[in-house]
Amino acid sequence: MAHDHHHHHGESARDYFVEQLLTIFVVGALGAVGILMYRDGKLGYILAAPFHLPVLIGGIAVLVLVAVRAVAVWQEAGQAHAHPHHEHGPDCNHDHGPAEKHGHPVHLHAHDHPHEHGPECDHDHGPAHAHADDQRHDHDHGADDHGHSHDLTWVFARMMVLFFPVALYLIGVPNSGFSQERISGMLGKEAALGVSVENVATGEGTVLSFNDLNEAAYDASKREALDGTVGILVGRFDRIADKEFRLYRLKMTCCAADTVPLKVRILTRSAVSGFNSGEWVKVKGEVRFVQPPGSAQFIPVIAVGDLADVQRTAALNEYE
Amino acid sequence: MKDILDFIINFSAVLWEAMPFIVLGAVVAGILEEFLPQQAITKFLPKAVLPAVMIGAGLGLIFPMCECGILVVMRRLLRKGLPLSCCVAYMLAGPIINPVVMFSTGVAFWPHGIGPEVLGLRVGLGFVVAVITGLVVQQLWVKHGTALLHPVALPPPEPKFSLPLTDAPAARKPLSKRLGNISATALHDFVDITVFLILGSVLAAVAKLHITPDQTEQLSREQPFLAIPAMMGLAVLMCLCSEADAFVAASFTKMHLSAKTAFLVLGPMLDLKLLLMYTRVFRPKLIGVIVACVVLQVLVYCVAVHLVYQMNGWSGLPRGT
Repeated sequence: MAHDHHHHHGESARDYFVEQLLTIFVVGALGAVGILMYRDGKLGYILAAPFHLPVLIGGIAVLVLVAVRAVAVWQEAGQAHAHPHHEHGPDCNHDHGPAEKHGHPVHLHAHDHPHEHGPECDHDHGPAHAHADDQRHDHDHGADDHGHSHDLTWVFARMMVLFFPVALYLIGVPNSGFSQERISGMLGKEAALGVSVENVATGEGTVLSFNDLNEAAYDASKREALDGTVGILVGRFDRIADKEFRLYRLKMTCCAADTVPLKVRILTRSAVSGFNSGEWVKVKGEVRFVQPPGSAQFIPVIAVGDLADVQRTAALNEYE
Repeated sequence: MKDILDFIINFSAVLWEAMPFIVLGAVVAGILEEFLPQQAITKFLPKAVLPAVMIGAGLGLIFPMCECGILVVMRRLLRKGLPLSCCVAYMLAGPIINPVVMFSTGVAFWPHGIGPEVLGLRVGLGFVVAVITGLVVQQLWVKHGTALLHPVALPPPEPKFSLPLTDAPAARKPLSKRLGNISATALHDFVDITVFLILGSVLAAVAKLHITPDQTEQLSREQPFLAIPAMMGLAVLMCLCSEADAFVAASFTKMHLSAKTAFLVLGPMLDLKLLLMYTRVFRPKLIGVIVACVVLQVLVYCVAVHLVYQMNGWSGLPRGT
């Protein structure tokens, strides 16, 4: 099953091994960063909880792939080293190098053993493709044949891009949620409702969630169930008018890029002061649903009769 | 400085959310490359183009993948002989017509009382856009052939001559060899796609610094005829996963259903990171055709949906009032 086999890549086995080692190193680092971010809890800043485990598994899978690849490259290097070099005569018909780019043993001399081509090589010799002993064919590989250049400049450029997230981890970011300015941008500007607060119900109150209140706004039966009850809500402060502010928390479905703010309007009988934007506040009051002027939709509102029911509180997780 | 940190959060979020799915896609690609015989998959496809493309568009029901992972798998299927038109249909419709995304879309809009409408429109329009685009791509394929594909995605060429031993039984490979091949393919595909995922995530994060959903909603309120294009632009810039985008769309409570549909249909088919990742499969000419085809169809269909709602006096807004 021997055949002569032309490769005209004009690259050295050294370049191949440099590429492979860089890939193993950088991709391995990327996988390790996934695992470390899971361990450090940094994924909490950027991903919803259900996506933390997939990142861990993905990181482990990458490390396993890299380990298997490292063993294969090690073996290739051993085979390459074991083959004695030979001089090329004028009729010696092969170049050294690029064939070895494809994830299979490096052959540094004329070979009479079967070989396999890896992922990028567009001339796969599948199991059914065998050559007669004296079969001989040439196939040239320009850089374009493979879809990318094997030259080391391109390899280094790709590795630098891949290293970017690793570098971010090494300098310790991300280490917090979005900035207050960014959150303000998400909240948008809203007009005051200007609704007067009278006859506010009082009582112990039950703890409410932003999600439940916002969902109830679209469901008549849920509105009916919650309307007039006394509830407690903890969120971040954002002023709208003297007697009106909103509490908000963020909701992340999958990742920080899909973050949306959940807002509940708070109406007070007298002017509220002394709270800064973004400060964590606990509010107790009566749940109501109000249609803003010109809108057919309801929004959730908590009417507060006594300013003592608006208090600073310890920060919760940014995301509900 | 705050902008830089916000950029890093957005960039990291898009990248690390997609990363496990790229790994999964790469491993599946490695297994396909090693075990799926060349052209085997085409035996199960009808000869006629339209049914084949329609099957391609529905493949996501059997092989559910998100838009990042699907690209890696699709490229391998392309190399294994699956027709380009079917691959494109699978790539475009797969991230929409799959059980996970359909479920999340229904859940996101259920509280608004428009869950079935949005789900039906998303799946229906997603299917139509993917099939029509697949058929257009088929016409191009007939004319230009492999010149449309990036060399990495090209199926291996047929042998130039028949060989006496071609039908010899395949030699059994040891497991270690198979694992080595799978890891080589998977790692290669992972690196190749992740580089462009990172570049796309950078672009998306930069774009998100300057555009917020609230600005889009405000623009749509002030210029209603811009609502659909604005939401399409937002879908391209935000680079959301198709499993999550319905929740973001649902948060646009004042936006007409037609604009939300445009966001939900276009986003999984085309965004900044996908655009860069497409360059590892298709030549610029084919990318241009796919982009034009998808964008035009989504725009036209969603405007038609808007007009139908308007003519029938349906609000197209969340119910429950």
